[in-house]
Amino acid sequence: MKIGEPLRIIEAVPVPETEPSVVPEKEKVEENV
Amino acid sequence: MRNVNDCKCSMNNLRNHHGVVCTTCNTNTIVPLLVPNEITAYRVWKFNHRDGFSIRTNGRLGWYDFNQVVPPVFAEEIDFMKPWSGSANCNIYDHKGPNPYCSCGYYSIKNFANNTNGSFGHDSSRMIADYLNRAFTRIESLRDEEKKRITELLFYSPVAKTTEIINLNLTAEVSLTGNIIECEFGYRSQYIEPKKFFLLLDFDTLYNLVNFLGNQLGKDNAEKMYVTYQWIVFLDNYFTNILKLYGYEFELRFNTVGYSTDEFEPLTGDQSKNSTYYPLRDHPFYPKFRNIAYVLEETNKIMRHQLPSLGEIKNEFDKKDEGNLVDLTRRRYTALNKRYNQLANGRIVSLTNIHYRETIAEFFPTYASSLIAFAHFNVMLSEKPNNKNHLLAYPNLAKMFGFRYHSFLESKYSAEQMAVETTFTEEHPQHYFKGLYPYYLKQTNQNTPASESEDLFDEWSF
Repeated sequence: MKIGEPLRIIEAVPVPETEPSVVPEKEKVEENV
Repeated sequence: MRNVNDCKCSMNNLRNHHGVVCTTCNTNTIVPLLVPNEITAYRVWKFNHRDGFSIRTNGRLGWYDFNQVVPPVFAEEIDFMKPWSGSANCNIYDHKGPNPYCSCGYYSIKNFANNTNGSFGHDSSRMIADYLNRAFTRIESLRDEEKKRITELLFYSPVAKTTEIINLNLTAEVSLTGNIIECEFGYRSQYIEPKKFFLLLDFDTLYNLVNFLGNQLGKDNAEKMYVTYQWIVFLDNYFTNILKLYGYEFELRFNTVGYSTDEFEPLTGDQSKNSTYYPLRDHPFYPKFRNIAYVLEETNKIMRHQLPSLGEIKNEFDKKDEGNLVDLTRRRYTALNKRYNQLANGRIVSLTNIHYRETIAEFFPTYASSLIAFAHFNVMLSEKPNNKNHLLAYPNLAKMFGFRYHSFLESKYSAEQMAVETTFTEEHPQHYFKGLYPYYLKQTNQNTPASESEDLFDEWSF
């Protein structure tokens, strides 16, 4: 078994999952008022 | 999308083994493609029953070792027990692996359980067969009575059979990150991290080994099946507990080729990982095995079946030992010295270590001690906070080990000795598992016992 001919050169950089968007604090304050 | 041109040079054959990029066909510098994800692949790590994954080689590695150890790259090992920690470094040239024009980097292949017998093969049953066959040839040279006793012990005891297996390939599903050279069948990568470990076996190979022993003892097929099943369960527990130490999951898988899967729905996707290897509990033979095991356990109870006893075997060998024949040749001296060195280095003595210059009566106590040490370590691994220093402190586990050990230990140590909590017997795993035992203590946050001081070490190192 050989790993064979090279096909491509990759740089794998895992991107962390984006956090759910949070409502900006300013708007919250306005709602409360 | 590809960024490496195919090589059309006559030198092609020399390069394509290990995914080396041809400079003649790729004159421009290659810009790597960015992948916002880790890549899943499979590879094998060599596991040693004394040192775990930290394999010490002689420094010289063949191309075939690529599968098992980390060549020709050596990681900047952050954790010495984990050869996959850290980034890859070429050990031939001074550069970081994987270099496109070199053959360095962590190797892995794309398919799970593919090409089972090749150099990148994932099936470990052939390795097990090789080790046990070596033990069988040693047993063959013994006298009939001795042979029968040892064969019986090896037949019934999953501990004895597993002790013979010094190195074993464990397949891992790995995630690759950093710079990666993708090739036709596999990858060379900068970082590698196992996600889950597997042991892939072929049931027929295991059964044939047990069958060979069973035939010499005149056992029937049901008992051979039962013994094989017990061995499988032991292997499953052993590796599950070992990999729990390392913080990984483990799964035992069996080849289904040769079994009719008509009655069962074939597994797909992640369950089978597109291979013919199924998890033990999904394998077609599993329900049948459970039935055989159940019936035999019941009949053994009724028949009052007795497992081989280490103490009895030792006494029998002692009686028949030609005690008045003394062999004082230099060869004998070196043979026994070799054994003492092995023990001092914490080697587990297996049947292949019988030297032709020593009698079985001389060999057996050291062998029995390492069996007990191996069994004891298994028990330690399965219980978390573990402060018991010898096997007699546990309930009787003879059924799990496949041999009786009480009379052997009781004849060796007095009850007063064993009652003291700080007594460490000669059979304690700390003497045998020089690599794994300290790691076990570290992982379970147990302090190093006081008796591991210099005094005890001197006493042990002859």
